[in-house]
Amino acid sequence: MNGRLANMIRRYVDGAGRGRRRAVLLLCAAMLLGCANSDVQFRTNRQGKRNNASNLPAQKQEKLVDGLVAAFGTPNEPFVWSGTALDGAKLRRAAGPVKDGSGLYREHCAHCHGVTGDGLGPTARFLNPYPRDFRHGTFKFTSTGQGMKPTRDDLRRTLQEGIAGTAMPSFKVALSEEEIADLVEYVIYLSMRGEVERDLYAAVDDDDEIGADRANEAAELIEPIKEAVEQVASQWNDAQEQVFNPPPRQRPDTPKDLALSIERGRALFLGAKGLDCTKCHGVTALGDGGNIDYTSTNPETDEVMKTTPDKAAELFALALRPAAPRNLRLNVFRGGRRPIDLYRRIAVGIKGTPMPGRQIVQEGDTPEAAEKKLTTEEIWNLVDYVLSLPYEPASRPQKLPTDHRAVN
Amino acid sequence: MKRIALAAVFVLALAGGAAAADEWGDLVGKFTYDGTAPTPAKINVDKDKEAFGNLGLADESLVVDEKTHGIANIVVYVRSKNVKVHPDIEKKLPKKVRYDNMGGKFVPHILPIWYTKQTVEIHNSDGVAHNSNLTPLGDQAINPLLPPGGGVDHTFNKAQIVGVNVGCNIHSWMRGYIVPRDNPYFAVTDKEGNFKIENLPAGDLDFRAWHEKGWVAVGKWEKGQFSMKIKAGKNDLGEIKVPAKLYAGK
Repeated sequence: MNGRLANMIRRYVDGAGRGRRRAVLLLCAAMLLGCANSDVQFRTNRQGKRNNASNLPAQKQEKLVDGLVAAFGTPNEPFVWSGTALDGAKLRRAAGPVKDGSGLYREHCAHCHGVTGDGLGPTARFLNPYPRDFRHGTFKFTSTGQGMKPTRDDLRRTLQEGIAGTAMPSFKVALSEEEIADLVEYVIYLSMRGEVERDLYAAVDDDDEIGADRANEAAELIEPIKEAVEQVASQWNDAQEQVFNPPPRQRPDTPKDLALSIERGRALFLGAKGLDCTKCHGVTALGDGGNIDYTSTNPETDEVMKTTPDKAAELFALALRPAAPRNLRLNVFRGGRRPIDLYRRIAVGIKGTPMPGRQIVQEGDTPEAAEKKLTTEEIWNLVDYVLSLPYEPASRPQKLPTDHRAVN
Repeated sequence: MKRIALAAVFVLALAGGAAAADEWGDLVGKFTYDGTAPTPAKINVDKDKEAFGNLGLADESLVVDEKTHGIANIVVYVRSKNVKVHPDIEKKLPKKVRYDNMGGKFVPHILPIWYTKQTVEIHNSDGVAHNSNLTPLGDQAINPLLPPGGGVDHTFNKAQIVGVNVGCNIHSWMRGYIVPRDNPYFAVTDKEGNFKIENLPAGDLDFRAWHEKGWVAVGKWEKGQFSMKIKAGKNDLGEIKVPAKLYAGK
């Protein structure tokens, strides 16, 4: 890493004046302390081996790392680039070594998600599903629309409640609300950094001038970094306002109404209106629709597995597993079991997975257009059906106890 | 005298500039496969056999014409930044282009668009549902379910240098590409390997050729890049022979 170049880059950016003073202070401090912990670095993303592209030439790779250090700092010293709207105080409490006032992430998260947030912590390979790789900026369970980032509140909920049926625990008891907010901020920081790295990789790879001219070495990186950071940050900041809420619903009052709603949901699930839930989840809803697909947060995974599976080991750190459609009879819903959670899963899909989003009838749609979409009520019917599945007799086959004398 | 000479040079330069601005040329070329044309593998239709089982679907990842050895589905685009655009192009350009799920495959297989001016209508012409799952680098990911006859309009926010993979998770053999570009200068080779880009501004331009198996990195074309001085009127890139080994095992 070239700290001097990183500082030069920061100096070019408007509003990074504070960062510059901080960076200078840091440099002084680092010299005094002999760069304690300076070996903690973010891991470089393994990409670019496809499409005949070799890895970046050393000079470009060096530039990329410099640019990332300039924009985001290091695991011990996160830097807040103007325009990311991240909260530096929160980041500093979450980052760094485990001690008073810092290190929350390394204490509670890094063993699975890795210091870099690449989902490659030491325990990652033993878990199923694998821990999230934050670097793609894709989070499965959000309250926002298709393809949108989660809100801070969505991430807070995931940390507080955990993810049922996975290794992700609930931190409700272990951590205070402030600590959870610090970690949410840090997860967004790691995501932004990972996304900017991917973006910047493409930009640096495609720009013949970068790495060609030593005299102009800092200036040539400013525009690509600014562009990448602004683009990623705007996606995150836009999402905060884009919560997807269905209009209030008249809930079925009587068991008869509920049974009717469930029946309608069942018809939709089995293929009315061309929904085809069964193609993946199966007619039984056991997840046995026979769909084998490797789609994950990384769009390349499925493509590689279907075209050149023998290259997968070289390209991906962990053995790829098929994205299994959920068995809906288990009563375990990873994204939450409140009706609104299931409503969102059905309406907008699950990000980074094969589960697609649906189109919802809008006011002013022509009858033909509406026919190809779902009404809000129809989605609620599906929710009622899915929530009823675990209680169907088929979901709870009973064995006769071996000793069936009455027990009091 | 000197001043007059300078003025003359200035006037000439102006005239030259104006002339250059009004000069436009077309580029044609042809990509052929240097080797035995591969036989595309038959697709194992494991879903909706009634709909797609008898269509003779075959792998589309490398389509080579048996007679002419032309390679289809290579995208050639202008890589130069801030390229001047002929005024007629936008007038003729359809505002919306359809990317269709038809007969168990994507039609067209590869679709380049001028993303700031064109919207993609992702559509389903089949009698069964499809989903179209795409995750462009640094841009919004979408994965809409498309019931029979249904469709969604999607606008991209970013240019890409390679195709954005479009997949259908229900019919996992389906694979297509959309290439959002920030200028209208692109073309896809037809089944005989021919392409034509019209109304390019005369002058030096950088191009790139991409195929889903990888950059068309023939000869000195690092990452499929080549440069050409486009002159007014016709320009011919000639026949570019793509060695079979470039895509072997990919």
